[in-house]
Amino acid sequence: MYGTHRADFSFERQGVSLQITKTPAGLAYVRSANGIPVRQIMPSSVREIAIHPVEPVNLPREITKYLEVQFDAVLVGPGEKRTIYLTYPLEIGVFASSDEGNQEIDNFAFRIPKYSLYGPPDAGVVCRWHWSRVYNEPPATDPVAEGILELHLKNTCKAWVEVAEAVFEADGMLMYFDSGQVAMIAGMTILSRIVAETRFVDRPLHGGMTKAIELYKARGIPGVDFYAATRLAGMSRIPGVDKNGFLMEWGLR
Amino acid sequence: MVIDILTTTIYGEVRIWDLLVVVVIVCAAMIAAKILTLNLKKGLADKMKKTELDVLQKVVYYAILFFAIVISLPILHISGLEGLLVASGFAGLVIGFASQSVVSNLVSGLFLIFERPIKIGDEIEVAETEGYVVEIRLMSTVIRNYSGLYVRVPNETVFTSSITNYVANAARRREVTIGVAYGTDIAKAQAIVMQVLDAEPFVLKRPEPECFVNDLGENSVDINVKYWSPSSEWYAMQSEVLGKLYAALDAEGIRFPFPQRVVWFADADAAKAAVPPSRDRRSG
Repeated sequence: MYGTHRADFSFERQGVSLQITKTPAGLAYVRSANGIPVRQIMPSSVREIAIHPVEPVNLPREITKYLEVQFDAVLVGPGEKRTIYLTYPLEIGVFASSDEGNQEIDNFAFRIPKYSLYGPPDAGVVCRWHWSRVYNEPPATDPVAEGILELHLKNTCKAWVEVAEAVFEADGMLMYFDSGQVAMIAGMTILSRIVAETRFVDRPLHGGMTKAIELYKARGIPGVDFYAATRLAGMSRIPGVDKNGFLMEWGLR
Repeated sequence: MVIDILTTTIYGEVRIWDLLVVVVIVCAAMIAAKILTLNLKKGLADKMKKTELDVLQKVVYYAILFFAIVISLPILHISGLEGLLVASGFAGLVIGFASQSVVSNLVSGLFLIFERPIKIGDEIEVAETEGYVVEIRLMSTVIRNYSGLYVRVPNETVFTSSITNYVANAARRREVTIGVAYGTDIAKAQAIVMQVLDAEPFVLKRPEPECFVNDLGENSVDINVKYWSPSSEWYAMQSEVLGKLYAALDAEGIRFPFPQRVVWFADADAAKAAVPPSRDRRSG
């Protein structure tokens, strides 16, 4: 299903069907779920329609930009580095591709989302929530419903730390996909028993994967580019300040 | 030519070059302040209370900015601050006595802007007015109430009143009492309630929802349901969740009793004997 399509594409799964056809007016996109259709006729400047996995924080309404993955507690020793594999939920974005760039035209998912609160009500953040088992190697997943998260844990403090959740900022999600998998790689630097920093790594899980369109870039959402300014000033990697990073300050379990 | 532009005098002895130097100093101070406060947060997050850490971050941030401004003043050839301060003090005293209410509103407005208990778009309740903050001006705050009416509240009133901000926090809790008939399988009712809450995306997974028998009432067994929702979705969730709870419980045959009285007679025969015989209308 993932990739770019010019015409004559159809897909059906769990009561959801997609169709892309060429009409005299332009490419036509139709998604039908439970008998309710979503139709879009593209302008002639749209050459193809891209279907990519996107950051799973948009449904049923966009209320947060954070993803929380909870899992069975993993013990990390002082100074230890460990790699674990988790799953995370997926949403599917449909984009109209033209010379001006990618424009989002539809967004749906095969799983019902659930949200949670990380931290206290007055200072925490609402997150898209997902429970995952912990794997020692990339698990088999349904590529339209779940992605694989390779998480590199690094304990920089002098205590043994139990980690049972990871919270990420969706703005920095860097997903790659191929015909059988969707995956992303992230790192968690443990600063103390209750504080850690998470960020994404721009690298595919294995060769041959295609980078997914980043939804927030496609929407043209402006960021506070303080970080770009520091890079322009020659301070390319400021310790503790990272564009993709999220500081987990309310605990790791 | 560039040198000519940079050495052009703008006013007094101040040149364009001086202005550029001041801008660079202030920008560098802002960047340094931002980096320092971020690292303070990371280093002290588990050693200090969040509120204290927030205050420390603000103090450090503004101290660095103030220091940068003080360094910049000589570059702009600004001096003689002492006389200016004394004159300002006298002027403030006179203005204060002459226009107490106006100044009070102005000062309250500045404090509101600095303290930020409310922002534009927030849903609040203040001075018996509920609605959305439309504008925060220097002298007053404009609220659009739920009926769409324009309400202007003087800032002194806003600042000195209790403000309830319904959306300042990330999440809010909702509490519902469901009365089910005596004789209901309570465990089954609770399981249905938890299933409905679990299936609802904006009923937060954490803090976990609660469902327990709260009271054995006169007419029903009262089940208390508590759940948290994102503040932005709280109002929509009210009716949505309640409707789904009712539909799910009703579909499983759980009854919601009306207020009622059941009268039991201890001895039915004695009760019948106590009733006076009805009079025969035919007798005299």
